[in-house]
Amino acid sequence: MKQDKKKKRNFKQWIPFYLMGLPGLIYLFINNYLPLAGLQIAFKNFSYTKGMWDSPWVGFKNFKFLFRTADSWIMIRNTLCYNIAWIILSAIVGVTAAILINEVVGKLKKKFYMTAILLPYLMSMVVIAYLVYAYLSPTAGLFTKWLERLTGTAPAFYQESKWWPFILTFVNQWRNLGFGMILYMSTILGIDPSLYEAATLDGATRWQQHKNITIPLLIPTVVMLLILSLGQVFRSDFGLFYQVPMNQGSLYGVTQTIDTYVYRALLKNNDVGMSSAASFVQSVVGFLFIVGANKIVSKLDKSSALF
Amino acid sequence: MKKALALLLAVLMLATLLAGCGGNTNPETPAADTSAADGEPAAINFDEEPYEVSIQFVGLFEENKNIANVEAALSAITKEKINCTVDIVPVFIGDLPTTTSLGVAGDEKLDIVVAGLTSPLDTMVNNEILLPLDDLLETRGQGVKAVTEHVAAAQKINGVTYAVSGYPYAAMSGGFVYNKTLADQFGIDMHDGMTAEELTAAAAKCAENGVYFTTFGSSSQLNYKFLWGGDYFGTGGAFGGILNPAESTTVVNVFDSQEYRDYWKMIKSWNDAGYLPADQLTDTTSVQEYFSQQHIFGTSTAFTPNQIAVWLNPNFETGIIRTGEPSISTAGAVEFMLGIAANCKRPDKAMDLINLIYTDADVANLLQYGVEGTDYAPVEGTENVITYDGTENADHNSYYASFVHYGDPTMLKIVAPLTDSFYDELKAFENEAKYSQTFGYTFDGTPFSAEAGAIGSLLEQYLPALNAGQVADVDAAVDELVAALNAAGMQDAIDANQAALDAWLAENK
Repeated sequence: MKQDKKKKRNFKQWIPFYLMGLPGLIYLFINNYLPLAGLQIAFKNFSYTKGMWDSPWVGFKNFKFLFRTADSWIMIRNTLCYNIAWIILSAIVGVTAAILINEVVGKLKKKFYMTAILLPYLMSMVVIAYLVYAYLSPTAGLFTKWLERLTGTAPAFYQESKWWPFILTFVNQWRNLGFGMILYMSTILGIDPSLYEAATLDGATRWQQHKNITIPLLIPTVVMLLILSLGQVFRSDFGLFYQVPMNQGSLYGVTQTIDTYVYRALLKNNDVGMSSAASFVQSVVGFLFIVGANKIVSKLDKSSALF
Repeated sequence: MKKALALLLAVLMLATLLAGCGGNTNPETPAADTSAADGEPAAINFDEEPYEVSIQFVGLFEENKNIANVEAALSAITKEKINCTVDIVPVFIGDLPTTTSLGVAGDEKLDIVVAGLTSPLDTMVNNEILLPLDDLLETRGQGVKAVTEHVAAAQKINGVTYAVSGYPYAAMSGGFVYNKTLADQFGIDMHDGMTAEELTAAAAKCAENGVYFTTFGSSSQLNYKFLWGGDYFGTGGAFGGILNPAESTTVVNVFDSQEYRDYWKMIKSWNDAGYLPADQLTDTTSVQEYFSQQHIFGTSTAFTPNQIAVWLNPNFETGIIRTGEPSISTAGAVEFMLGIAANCKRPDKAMDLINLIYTDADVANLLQYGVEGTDYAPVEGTENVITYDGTENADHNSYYASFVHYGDPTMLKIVAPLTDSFYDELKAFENEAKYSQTFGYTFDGTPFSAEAGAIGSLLEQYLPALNAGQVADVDAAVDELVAALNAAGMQDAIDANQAALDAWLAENK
């Protein structure tokens, strides 16, 4: 009885906080939960007149087009491989950049480097596509011309697919580095300085300090970002894969992902059911990846898991 | 307490979910008692409050400053004749498909909608966006029925009319529009019916003078105006095509045909000889821009008696030639149509207005060109020729219909440099044209939508390089494309299409 009362009081104490959280909750509800009802469109022959609820069910028919082409395997491979490689790479690159920037002495210099690194993240993919084009264009590209001067010949970048895994990886890392770096830096700034002081007193070098203090304390952030990005493993940055290679057919072998395939397949057919089906598959796979990754993490280290 | 709160929240969520998404569970059925059942022409009820009929007006980025005056002038006539007012709704062409479909889904006010322009008629019918029009045409649309009679077969899907042709003169042939100033300068003789060899010779002369002959850009469209006259089924020929539809009814995979291989080889030879810009595939400059900046000599285009008007430029003289015989195909007739939205509250009034547009020259001209004096001026010494020059509409911002045609073309005024002889030319061209044997036939590709998606993606992948002539070996590239298309099930779709066509022919011939 006494305990009950205590609970009640506790709850009352939290009411203002719940109220503060309410707008966010409402936003989440409207933006992320309401549209869940639309998942059924993936299994329906959608009619604009009948609407979402009254359109007839068609089972898995809408999913067929994803696997109708011989390229299904290629686009799934591309989506998964690029994503997994980039998730790992961006953790390494992001942590390194955060530590290095943290070493920069001078507030102004630090701000300058951070802004410079973050800038590409704020650029539209179309702008980035033309920046890349300025370097790689067959007739006037800076890089192409430079290679031509040096070696006599330059590859036709927009026709040879072998270059694109590297170009896309470079562009992706260059663009997204800033955002990851800021997240890691905020964690680094939160590390208790006394740890470093103690380490210095014990005669630890800079490298030893990072190896034994910074990186271990960054691990929870790295793991959290990893789990979150695994939810997106079946999705791809459409602008990166569509705009940056200038939608060149000869590059599809390495630039076709699930999103670009869906766009190309339905661009002219305008089929709501089929595009919902593709998005449904992406969401389900992303969900499974998140739950799976979280399970593995919680087995290894319960405190790093998300839920 | 926590549990109760969670439960409450869950109930609330569910309730909002149902309320929020169930908005369209019971779309109001359009007034059904609008057509007299016995097929007698229905009378106009002048006692009721005038209904406001909305009509889509598709354009680019025009401002249409004068639109309110056009509406007022139109409404003055329509109120008197059919007891309704007119609301012209400008729609950006890129937004047209979503505006229409979401408008119907959300039960917004939509009456007369544009069909065919950005979404094929059969797609719109499959998505249940359009109302069947046969009864309305019978009772209230005799005028429009007469004007569109000869293309009526193409307006039907499975025997039901869903839209009327906005430009019933459907004859077209292949054509090539060119810079006449340059042609005279280079001594190139451009004439109707030029063969591939003659065109290649002209291209060589342009190259000698440092001008590209033409450009194709990065296009995956089945845009072979040089090979005019085919009938294609599905988006981009995904369900096959008939190359000579006036004579043949055999559906083939057009990409595998000798004609296409020869065409692509010609383009490749042009590209290899430097007649085409080297960076076509990555250059996003449009053909129109290239042409108006005089970087290319000309471009292939559909030929109709008024096509040249689209290509005029103040800096040089423009010419156009016909490269083939005119033909009338289903695709040509359904390119631009007017239909009535499935959620229209007063289909009878919408049909009254459509009928008036096709029978009343004043209404059609107002809708098409706006108010005389403000939006256009008559050209002196002519009967029906008008010009935008010298009016407030010179920059097309007053009232300008870039993508729409309203009414009977023989009733509409024409824009200079067309002359009064245009109407005779139009009729002669139409009479000369051969009907395709499949005229009026459409293939219902719904069972093959998965294949269409896969095929569409393959065409995006292979066609731009072939169209630009930038492949190492045409035959190898085509073989690869055809193999991939067959793996995606194209032949199954073609076979089904052929079977449906044969059944249709047996029924209709």
